[in-house]
Amino acid sequence: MDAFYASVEQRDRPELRGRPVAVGGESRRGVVSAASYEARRYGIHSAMPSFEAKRLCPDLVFLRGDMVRYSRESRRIFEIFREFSPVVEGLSLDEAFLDLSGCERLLGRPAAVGERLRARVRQETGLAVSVGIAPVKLVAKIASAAAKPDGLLEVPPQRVREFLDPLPVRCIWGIGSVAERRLADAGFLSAGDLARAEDSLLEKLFGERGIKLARLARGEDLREIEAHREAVSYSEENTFDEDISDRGLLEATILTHAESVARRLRRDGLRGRTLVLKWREARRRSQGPRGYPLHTRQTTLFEATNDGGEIAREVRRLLVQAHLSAAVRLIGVGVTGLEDADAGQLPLFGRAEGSERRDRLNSALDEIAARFGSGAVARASQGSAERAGLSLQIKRGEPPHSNG
Amino acid sequence: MKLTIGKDELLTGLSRIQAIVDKRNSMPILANVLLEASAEQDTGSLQLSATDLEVTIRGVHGAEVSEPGALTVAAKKFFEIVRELPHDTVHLHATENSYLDIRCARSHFTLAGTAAAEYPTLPTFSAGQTVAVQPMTLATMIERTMYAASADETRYNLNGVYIEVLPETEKIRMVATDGHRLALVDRTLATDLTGLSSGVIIPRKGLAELKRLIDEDDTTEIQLAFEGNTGLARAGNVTLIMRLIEGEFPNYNQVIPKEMELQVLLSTDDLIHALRRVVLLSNERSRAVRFELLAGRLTISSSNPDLGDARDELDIDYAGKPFSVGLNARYLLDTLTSLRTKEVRLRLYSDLSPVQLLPTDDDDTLAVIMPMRL
Repeated sequence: MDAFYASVEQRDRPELRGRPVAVGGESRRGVVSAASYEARRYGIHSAMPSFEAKRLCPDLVFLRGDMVRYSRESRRIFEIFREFSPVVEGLSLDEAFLDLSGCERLLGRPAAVGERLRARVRQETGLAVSVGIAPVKLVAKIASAAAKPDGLLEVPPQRVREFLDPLPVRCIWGIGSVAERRLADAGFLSAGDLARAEDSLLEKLFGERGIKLARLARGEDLREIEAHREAVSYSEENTFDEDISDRGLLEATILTHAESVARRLRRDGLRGRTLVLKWREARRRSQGPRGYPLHTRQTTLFEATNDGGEIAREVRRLLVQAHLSAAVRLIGVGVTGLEDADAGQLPLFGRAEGSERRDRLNSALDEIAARFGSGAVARASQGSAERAGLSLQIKRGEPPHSNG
Repeated sequence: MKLTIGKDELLTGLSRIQAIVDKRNSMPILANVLLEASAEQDTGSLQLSATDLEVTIRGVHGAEVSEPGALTVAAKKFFEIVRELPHDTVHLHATENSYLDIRCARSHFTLAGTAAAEYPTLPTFSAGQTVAVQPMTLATMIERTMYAASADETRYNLNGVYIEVLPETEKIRMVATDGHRLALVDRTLATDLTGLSSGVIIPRKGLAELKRLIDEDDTTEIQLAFEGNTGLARAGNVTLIMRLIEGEFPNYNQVIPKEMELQVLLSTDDLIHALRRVVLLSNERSRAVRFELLAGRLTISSSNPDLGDARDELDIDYAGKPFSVGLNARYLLDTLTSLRTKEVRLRLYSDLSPVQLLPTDDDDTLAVIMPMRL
């Protein structure tokens, strides 16, 4: 959608049409979250501090915005999107990928579909939407930005390189300001520079990530369009006060994290299939907080779990396989690949005997923890990290609670 | 490369490979079809090949070849062009700069191509001996199992159908499971299927192509062979080479229930229609429906807090205790539609044990569905 929040305001309040409008936070640290095209002429753009926007354009109509109204509008628009493709991956309230592959016979050529979709959205909501069409997601997203305002841009497969090559590397997903600087230092300024580079050189300079970025720069984006992008992961990690190389302590810490992550999964009625071990080496490689090399290992289970013991067992196995040679300063456990715990489908294979019993035990433990606090009961092997006098500075990560 | 070939012959060959050429593949050249003209047999032949590195299809078509050679061109575009050509002889000529010159009656195209040397080396199959099997039997076996294979790539060992020889009966067995349900068929397909001493897993995509090959026209015979991690199927002039899934297929025998408490006989059609109605108000993710056996009737119901409740009834010959079990309606419908039989026997043991579905006219087909906790 083009200048989504601002467009909704201008549609609903005719007196704002043709005037510079910005929606955003008004506090001292507030930023602009959407600017109408009239406002953009003053150089106002989203993520700009609100005070600066007002300085650039004293006539600016600055609105707090109404998220409830915007999300209602978003739902209407997404419903229209779903008329055009069964596979719709929402990126934000006003941005989505539609998979049209295989729909050509049903719907017609992609450009024609795009124009019909634009017409439908305008007719239903009175709002302008821009469409980018390409064989891969990355290019479609860039094309839709280039099509704005109120336009459509199709980049057919044979034109992808021609389209991407002149763009700055910054346009490629995964390249932020840090990576941009490093790439520029190595002489890679445009996507074309990256696309043309030899894999061996990129690997030497940037590791495997370099090869991946070059692949994106060549328009080879293999990610499928995912209709459901759901809660990503639950995790917990801690930085030790002193560097740890004692395997027993690391394993005990893993169990503590695993139990806590599992409890939160159960609280939210979820299980996860992919388990992640994360650690940071104690030996500093470069300056800054990221100077300690970070590593992750992951494994995917046959059946999703929310049992702390099972999570700990698998993550400890990852620890063994990682063959740690040096001390660590941080260790963490994460669970992704989430599914509803009460989806209820029983597996044919896999869920080992006793899993029903463990589920019952876990819910009993959760009840005790709810009544007496989470420290009330612990596994026999769990307390050793605390007993050894280590304070755990725990950091938790979990997806925001949202209903889509 | 220079040759002439009948339009229909060329179109058949090109349409066959359309599902293989992958537009989204990481190697752009895999969207091309490899044309190889040789003058060896009689007047000559044109071989059309396509691969996605997992599945390879190769068809040999009669053609008058005046200059042998090879070239690759975009498979979809070439197909679209040929489809629109008049019914006449097509003249193909590879020009020096890798263009394919296409002439037919008064139409003329030059299509940009890529040198054949750029195309990946296609898998070859050295096993000389293939075994003939009955296509319709093979089609039934694929139809009754493939739907149960998993599409979840992290369970790669379940992404196909397991095929093995049963030593006692010399029948061939196909089994597929996604971890929640399982489908199994035994058939007398062939004796001594080459290379199949230990059982192999054929990927879904390969099987789908094999099924397409059988359905394509009245193929009277399919040749099969297995060697190492490759499977081969040949029908007439078409060869299909499939890379087999390397992985252990789970011990499926342990999940096929041996003892069964209850049994009811149902009309497949009636059950399908009842399920299609009730599933409308089931939870969209779980597709859970409740089966309740009562004296003389089966009720199927669903309930969705956002939508409401649905309930349907079928008469059954049942006099036992009331019994209820939750099942995924999608799984049931997949099974029932794949069986295509008039009646189906439902066998149950407990609300947490696998449910069996058996067609009444076939002792060698079986489906197992794990219940849902409701």
